[in-house]
Amino acid sequence: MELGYYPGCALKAHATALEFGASTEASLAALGVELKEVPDWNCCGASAGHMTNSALTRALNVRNLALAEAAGMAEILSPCPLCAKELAIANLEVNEDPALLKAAEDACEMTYKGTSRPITLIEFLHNNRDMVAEHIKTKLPAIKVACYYGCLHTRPSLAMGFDNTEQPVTMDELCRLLGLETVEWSHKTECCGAGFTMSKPTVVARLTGRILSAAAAAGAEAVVVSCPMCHANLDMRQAEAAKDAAVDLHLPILYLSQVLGLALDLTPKTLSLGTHFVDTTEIVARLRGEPLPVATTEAAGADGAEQE
Amino acid sequence: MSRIGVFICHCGENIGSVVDCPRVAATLAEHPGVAFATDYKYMCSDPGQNLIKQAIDDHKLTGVVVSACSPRMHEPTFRNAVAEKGLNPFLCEMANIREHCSWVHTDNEAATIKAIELVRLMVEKVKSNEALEPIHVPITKRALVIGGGIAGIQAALDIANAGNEVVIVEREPSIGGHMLQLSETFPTLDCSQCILTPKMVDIARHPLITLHTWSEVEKVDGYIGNFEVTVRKKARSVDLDKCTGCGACMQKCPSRKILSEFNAGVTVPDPENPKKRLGYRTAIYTPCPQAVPNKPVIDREHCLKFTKGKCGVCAKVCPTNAIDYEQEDELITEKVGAVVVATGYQVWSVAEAAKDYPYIGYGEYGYGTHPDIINGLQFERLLSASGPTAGRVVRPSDGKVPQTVVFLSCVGSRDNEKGFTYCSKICCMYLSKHAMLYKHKVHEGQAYNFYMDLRAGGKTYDEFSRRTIEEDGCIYLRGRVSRIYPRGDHLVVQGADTLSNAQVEVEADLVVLATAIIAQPDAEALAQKLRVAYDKDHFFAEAHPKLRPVESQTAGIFFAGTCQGPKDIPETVAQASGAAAKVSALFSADELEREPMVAHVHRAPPPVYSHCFGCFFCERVCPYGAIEREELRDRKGNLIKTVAKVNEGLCAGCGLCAASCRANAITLRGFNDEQLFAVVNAIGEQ
Amino acid sequence: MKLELSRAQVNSEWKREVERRLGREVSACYQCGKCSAGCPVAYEMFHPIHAMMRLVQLGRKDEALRSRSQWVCVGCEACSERCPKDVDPARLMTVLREMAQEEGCVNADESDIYDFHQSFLSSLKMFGRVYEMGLVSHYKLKSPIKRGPQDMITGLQMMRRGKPGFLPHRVQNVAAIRRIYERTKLQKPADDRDSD
Repeated sequence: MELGYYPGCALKAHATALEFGASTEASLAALGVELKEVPDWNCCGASAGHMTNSALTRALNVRNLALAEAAGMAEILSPCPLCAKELAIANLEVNEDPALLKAAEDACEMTYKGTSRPITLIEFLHNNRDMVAEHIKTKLPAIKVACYYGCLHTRPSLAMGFDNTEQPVTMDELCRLLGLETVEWSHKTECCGAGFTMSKPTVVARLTGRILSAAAAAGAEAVVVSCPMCHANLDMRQAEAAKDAAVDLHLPILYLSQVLGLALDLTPKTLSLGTHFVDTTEIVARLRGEPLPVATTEAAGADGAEQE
Repeated sequence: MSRIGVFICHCGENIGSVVDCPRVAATLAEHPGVAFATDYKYMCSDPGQNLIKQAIDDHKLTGVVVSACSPRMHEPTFRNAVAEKGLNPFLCEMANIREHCSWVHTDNEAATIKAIELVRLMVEKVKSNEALEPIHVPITKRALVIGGGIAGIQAALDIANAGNEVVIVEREPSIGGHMLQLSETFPTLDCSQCILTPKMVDIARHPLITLHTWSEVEKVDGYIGNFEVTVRKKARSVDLDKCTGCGACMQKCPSRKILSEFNAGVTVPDPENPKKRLGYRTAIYTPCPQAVPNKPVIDREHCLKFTKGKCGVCAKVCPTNAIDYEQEDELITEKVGAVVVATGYQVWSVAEAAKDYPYIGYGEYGYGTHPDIINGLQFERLLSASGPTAGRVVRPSDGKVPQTVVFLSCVGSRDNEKGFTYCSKICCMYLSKHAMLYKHKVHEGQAYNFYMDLRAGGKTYDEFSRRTIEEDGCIYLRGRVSRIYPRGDHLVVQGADTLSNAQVEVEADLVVLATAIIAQPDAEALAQKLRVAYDKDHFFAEAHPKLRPVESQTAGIFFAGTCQGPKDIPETVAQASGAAAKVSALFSADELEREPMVAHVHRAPPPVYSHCFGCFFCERVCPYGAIEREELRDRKGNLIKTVAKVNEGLCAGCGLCAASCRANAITLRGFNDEQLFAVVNAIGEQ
Repeated sequence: MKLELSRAQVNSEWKREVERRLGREVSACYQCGKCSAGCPVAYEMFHPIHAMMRLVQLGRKDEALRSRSQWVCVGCEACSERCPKDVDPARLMTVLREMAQEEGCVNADESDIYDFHQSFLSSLKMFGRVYEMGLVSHYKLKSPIKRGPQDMITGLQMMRRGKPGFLPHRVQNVAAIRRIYERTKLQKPADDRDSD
């Protein structure tokens, strides 16, 4: 099957989330999905856009939607939920208010009829879970994971409403389908601090500290995410989080597309499992049913990245 | 020859400041058929009415038109006045030149011309009015009370004490309703069961009251004074005549883990044996020790005998052989003259699967899945001496005494997005009570109450809530709670205190949610059986929110208690007595006079017999079910045809049948074709 | 604190403009506080979200626009999601951010946050897609002493892992992006601090 694809800057352009991009593309290819990038897509504006200038954000995203529509894409896979949300909100707003549509079209010099819509990775996989189940080559062992949706996958519910807003279950169902054991925990949809990772890292440390302590307290051995910002904050900033919450944290942060890829027998290298900040060697070995590597890897928090 | 009297009212300034009343009177005086026309400041006053009566005598009037306010205000006033002078009251009509004219127009000249027109049209109508006689309907002096909670109990006692028979139909195995589940009531802290059970016993003993418990109303036919109600007496599986209420069956029943409705589903660990829990009931059960009647029912959905064909222990141990597994539902008919609906409320659940209403539940509070997040009624059961803990406050999860309890107001109430828009009225008070009683039982405990407003409007209510704060140390935090989640053994409550401008976090051992008071799940179905109006929240709609709170819009049916809207016990009892008074008033005459403006199907001489040809379209459109079928037979008894017939008692005079009759065989008395065409033809004439 | 209220203040043009941009009347908010109760960064705010709404209800324009709260807001929308009156406090934050820029009173205490947004947007304007190296340099250069040493180690660690990309990715029709910027620019006062 063919699917429109909007990778967004984090996955493709500056690629601080190169793992997410690489693993998503590889896993979907293994599922037989051919991804076609929206031609000449631009940045969705992210936090800076939607926080400081709603007209700019709307225009930027109507351009993306119009480009997708012109390329005949009814559904656009946007793995990053912030991109998905910006596209979805732009869609909602211009579909409801013709004046907003006109202003956005004038700004971006394109016409948009309203026939495209973004879809997150979780939603796509969940809608096609039968296909996913068919393609599983090696079921993963029942390692306990906390599925972290972040604030964007379920809010605002008008734009992102495919799962239960307060107690979402779709990513959990997917992980269980792959063989993992999911834990019930209290911070599934709490915000990680998002775009403040550089500009106000104390907030990120506080928020991620709360999230990771809750995940650890629930017995999780890893956290599964589907958002590049969440990944960066929970992974790259885990040391600060641990310090702020005054707890010991050793939680590898894995992308949903990475655990999916492992179940499809893709290699850790293809899935970019070697570039995380919190060391993933041990968890990956366990996920692949391999013997644990002999004691050279340090505890999480240090720069223990092993290039495989 | 018509001699119509026309009376133009100024209604003080209401009409007089816009419409030139003297001019209207003068103009109408010239109209053919008008024998007398005048204007006056207040026609509804005594002098005003005397004006009419005098004119009837002086000018030998054959009809009267009073041009004033809406007939809904004073039509009976003026009709009574003309009747005193021997003129048939239905020859008196009102022309509305207030609501339809002076109150809605600002151009005085145009309004005056319109008023003249309106009066003229009404004069033309009245020229064709027929003298009508009221319909007399017999009254069955028995009342039906649906619901045996405090509202139903009070209404039944009042009606019975006034000397009339009452039948109570109660759905549960016992009467008592929610009040029986409460521990102590605000603001007196009376033990709820102690003040209620004497009334329950009075019901049981009263010679004029018939009690059907474990029963439901199946169908309601008929009309005021003459209802025929079908009641389904569900199979108890126990013969009431033989059962003595000894309780041996309950002691021996092996199915002991059924959630008890009376305990609102709350259970706690057994302090003697932590593997077991208390608060369940058995399959053969009475809801509580004070049940009236104190005779059990078998819950066939959970009884082993009915689900698996096994057991049968109760029958073996019953000393009087009262168990009857073969018993079936019984349908009985009760003929009554009035119905009091006292079906009460239910307490809303925050669970996502609250399927009866299109609301999405509170995921931020866990959808009711955490055992230590309970609702107000469940907390009442913990406080109650007849509850699973005999009155000790403990956590349902581990049975420990909670040291910190957090109460939340307005869960589901005043919430346009996720709940109900209205205020549930009693929660502010009962949460104050809960915090107070908790402190009385757990001296070193700390209570917090997240509230939005403190609604304590009754007598000594405000003083009562202040005691909770000033004497019992409850901390009231002004703000809603955004989220509750478990952390270790405790619950983190994330709320706000807008008075401190702060987000507030409290680690609680137990959380009590004051969830919304909502209508019963089958309120809509019952309303449709009774043909009474109900609102968007399925509370029954009273006839007038200010002046007729206990009457429905359907003649003969009254409301009492929370089925009409959330309210506390004193208001419920007051309404119950009010409804009872209405019923007693209804029963004080032997016959009921009803307005004769009802529909009527024409008959004709043979061979036509009736212009009605039996299509029964009228039957389909009648909202009151007032069309019956009548078989016309010849002298030998052969059927000629089946035609429609209007039941004058049920007919409300809406005219839908007359409008839809294809054969023009139906007339609405008081609005016949001649009258209506007279009005229509007169429009536009000078 | 004392407030002297007047008809003009509680019915001000500014309040009407806020309501117009918000798409609803602020009187719908009955100050239940559920928004502030669920806000993850309420601990950082002198005026939590409900208090910001209260400022608007009373027409207190200066305090509202000069507040730090809207800049510290992470945009998680938990407030709007749970609001029982659907007054959309999250959207109010955006309205206040835009107005603060338009009136030139962006709170200086949160200049890091504002500058980062601006650096992000200039990178976007230049390439159509964000060039992280450019963004970070632009941001740090605005305040090199404070921001220079920040995350130096993390930055090196990231580079060891091959991220971020060294070269910018460009949208082919970058000119279109720049025109979008011009057409949707906020009307700011001349002496604004940011570089566009």
